[in-house]
Amino acid sequence: MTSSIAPGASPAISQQFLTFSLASELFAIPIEHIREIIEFGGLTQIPLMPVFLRGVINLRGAVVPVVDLAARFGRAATEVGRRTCVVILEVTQDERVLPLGVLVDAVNEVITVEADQIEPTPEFGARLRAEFILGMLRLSERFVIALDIQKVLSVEEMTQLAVTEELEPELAATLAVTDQGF
Amino acid sequence: MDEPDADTPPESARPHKLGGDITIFRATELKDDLMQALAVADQYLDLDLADVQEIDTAGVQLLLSTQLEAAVQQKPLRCLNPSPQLVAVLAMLNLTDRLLAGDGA
Amino acid sequence: MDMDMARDALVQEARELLDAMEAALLQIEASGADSEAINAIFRAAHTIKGSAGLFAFNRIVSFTHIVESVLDRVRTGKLPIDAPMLSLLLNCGDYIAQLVDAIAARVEEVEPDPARRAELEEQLNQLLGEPAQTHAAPAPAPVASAIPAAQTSVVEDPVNSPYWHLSLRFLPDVLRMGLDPLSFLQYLGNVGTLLNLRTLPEGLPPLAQLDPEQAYLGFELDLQSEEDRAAIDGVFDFIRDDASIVILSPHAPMHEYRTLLALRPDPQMLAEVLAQGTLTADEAARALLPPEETVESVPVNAPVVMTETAAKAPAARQGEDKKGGYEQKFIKVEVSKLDLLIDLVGELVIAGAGASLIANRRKDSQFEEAVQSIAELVEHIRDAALNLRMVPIGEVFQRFPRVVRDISHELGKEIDLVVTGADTELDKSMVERLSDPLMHIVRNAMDHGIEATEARLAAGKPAAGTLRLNAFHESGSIVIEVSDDGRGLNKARILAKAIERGLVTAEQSLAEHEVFRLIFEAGFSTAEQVTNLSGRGVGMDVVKKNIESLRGEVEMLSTEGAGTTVRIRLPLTLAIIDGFQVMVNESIFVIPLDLVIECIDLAGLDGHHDIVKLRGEPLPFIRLRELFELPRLEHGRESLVVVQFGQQRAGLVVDRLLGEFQAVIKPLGELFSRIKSISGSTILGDGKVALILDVANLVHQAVQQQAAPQNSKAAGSLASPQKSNG
Repeated sequence: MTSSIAPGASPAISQQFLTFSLASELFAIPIEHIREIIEFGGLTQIPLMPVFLRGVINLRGAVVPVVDLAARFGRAATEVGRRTCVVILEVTQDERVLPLGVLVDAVNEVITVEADQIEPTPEFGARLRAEFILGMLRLSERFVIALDIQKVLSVEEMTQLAVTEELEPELAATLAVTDQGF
Repeated sequence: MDEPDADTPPESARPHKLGGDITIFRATELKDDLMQALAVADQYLDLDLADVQEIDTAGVQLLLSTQLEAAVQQKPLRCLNPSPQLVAVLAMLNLTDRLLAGDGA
Repeated sequence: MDMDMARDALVQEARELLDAMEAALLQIEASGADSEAINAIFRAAHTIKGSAGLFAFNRIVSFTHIVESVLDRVRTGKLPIDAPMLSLLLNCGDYIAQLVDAIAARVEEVEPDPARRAELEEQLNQLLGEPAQTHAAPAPAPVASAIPAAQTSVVEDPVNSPYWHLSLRFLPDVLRMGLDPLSFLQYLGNVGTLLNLRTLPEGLPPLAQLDPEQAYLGFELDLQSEEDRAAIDGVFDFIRDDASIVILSPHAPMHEYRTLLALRPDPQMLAEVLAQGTLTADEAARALLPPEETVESVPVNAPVVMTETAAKAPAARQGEDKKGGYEQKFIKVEVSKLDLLIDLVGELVIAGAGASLIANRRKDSQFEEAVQSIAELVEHIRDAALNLRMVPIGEVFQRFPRVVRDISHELGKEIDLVVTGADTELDKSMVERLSDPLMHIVRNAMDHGIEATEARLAAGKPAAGTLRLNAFHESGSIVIEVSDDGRGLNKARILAKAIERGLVTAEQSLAEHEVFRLIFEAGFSTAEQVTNLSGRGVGMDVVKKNIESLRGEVEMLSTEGAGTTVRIRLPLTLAIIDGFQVMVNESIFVIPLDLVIECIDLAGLDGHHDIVKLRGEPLPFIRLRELFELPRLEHGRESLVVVQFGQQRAGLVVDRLLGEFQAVIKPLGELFSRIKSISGSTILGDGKVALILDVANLVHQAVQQQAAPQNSKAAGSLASPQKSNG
């Protein structure tokens, strides 16, 4: 289990999450990674990149890559709509903090979640690699998958995938979705 | 009157007091003062320097020049009771032996 | 004073001094002893000791003190500067560097290597314990440099006094002007300790004739001080114009005292005064006598060295740069400040592009002209700013004389190093990352390339092998070559090894340069033995990776039996370039302008072209649209952009030409690091990101395709075409 929140653990360490949707599914990211949210636009595609590396944008003079989360999870590429936006996150890599954007269908809201509302990742059925998941947030009517953004946006893994993509696109697709040794 | 004892400096007129700031600001006045003192001195020109405060180049020159003049007039200069400030300055200039030796130079 | 900053400054200064010391030692080794070099070495040790003393870094102070004592004896001719001495001093310099490293790492209380230190101290103390034998003063070596004659041809012994000597005389009116010599003397006491002070009342008249407000006294004194000349000289700033201030440095050469005596009214008296503490009786006597040496040793310049106004010349002696015989003034700048400037210039370039774009759309010619002049100025600023980052590659090369010397000793081979093109400039950021790869290559060349002496003689070669480091600029790149005249590369052996390692199959026929390129494959080695020095001859794959991470390339050229050259090519700038925008499908790409030779419009030509001939020569080319798998543009005007990288040319077929502009290079980041054809990105005037093409890679691809068209994607996939562009 790679969950990094202790579910059901002791006294109120409430955390804040941003929730957003990919197709019809709701996901959440802890807000400490989030730098800003911007409208989708001005994306430059990079040739010969896998689908989930959507391209790069100009963020006040810095060239920031944009990842299509849906595609990263092995689903269909995000179709750009009215509410499509890019969430700019900060990811740590080799002791450096890098900005990375993720493409989402829509952004919902910031919620505060108490420690006891966080449940461990289910054994199966999540349709997502276990290590991508921090835990399940139990909200009033539904569960929301909280993502471990460091794992999802592991630069190392994505770079490797980019290379594999060049050589064997199908293999790359499989690797994106399943555990390596599965 | 006793024979002058070789060890004791002979009597002379009361030592001339030179005090305050021995600096360029009073240099001209002090020169006159010293010439006067030399004129009335008997066998030695004794200067009481206990009250010397500040002393600058002009002041040091006055002392040295007075010493020369005193030698010319055969009335050797004796610097008595030098103030600490004076001692320090003369030490820095390596003039202690020359001016504060005790017997007139 | 900020302790950290002061410590860093000390470390930096010490390292520079140690470099100078090492260079001087090597120079003596190569061309014989000369007093200038010896003095430089002494001053280095002395200054390091002094500075370290200010911070009470006692370990380095005590060690350097012993070295300084030995150097002092060398300087005065009491110890010879022979080969063992040179090696010892080089080793001591290394240990001092370790002590400096400890200071930099804030662990100066820990002795870096007690055993080593004890060893060195023993050798040093042995030298000091020997009875002082007077060896002939070091003869000046024919040094080809532009140092003023005053310095190289003085052969006189320096005086014994380890103190500064000051001779002070004042104009009569100084007292009236409100200046007091006594207070200057007291102030001098802040800079050091006054010793042997003599008040000279010679000009003083008896009281009757005394002008009480006139200055008559002169002073001669010694000063014990760790400060430099500038600090001591600075004490007299306010009185300089009305006084004669002569300052002689510790162990000043005899002729300076001679000149001082000549300068002052009563040399005889002054010599007696000096003999009372400053000089020995013998020295004082000699100072009165005319010099034995020729006129050269007391040049007209010498008084300039000592007069009140020219404290500059002595300062110049403290081991300044001697580049090409003219003075270069330098200023130290923090790298971060420079980077900030470059960033801002980058922003300026982008903003300027934005303004140009708007001006174009407005169709306002006055506005366009104004923006145009701004753009030109920005380009000049850009070039000037980028130039600040350029440093001569000599900085990288400078450690190699020592390295080559040490390694050639270890290997027992005679190897000479020849360095050319050291003033070829490259971007500062590359300098550090180039050092290791070059080191590897040099070690390889020395270890595996150059043969042992007997083998060389047997082959009819000179006994000493030659290693050459060369650098020059070529079409937008800097080329660095490491050449040796050793045994060269054995193609057959390399091929055999590669087959053995499974890198190639026996059936493949490879051109010579392809065979040599195998050496850069990981896990490859043709070294028969494992040596301590360069491992198994590996590192070449690491070298290649390092060079490629600098967006450069490396290749090997060789003639068997004659020698090998490793050639590295690196881009000149990393920050801002002149770019040429092109369109491929709907995407904008940028090509570095200085790699573009010409553009040819293909629109008027019919059919689909497989082969392009440029003035009779077939030109390898790539259709970028196909390479990037982008759809065909309906109404594009296909053009061919001819680019050159190194010696090779290729054509890039694009859908539209857009024009020149200044591109501020923004790195793409690791995510996209594996893409071969893209080297970076830039921001256009409208704020969108455009990708910069990696011309080197594309040229390679084009050339490869030309050789083996069936392997490529982009060299024409349609059936028919034999039409060629004449």
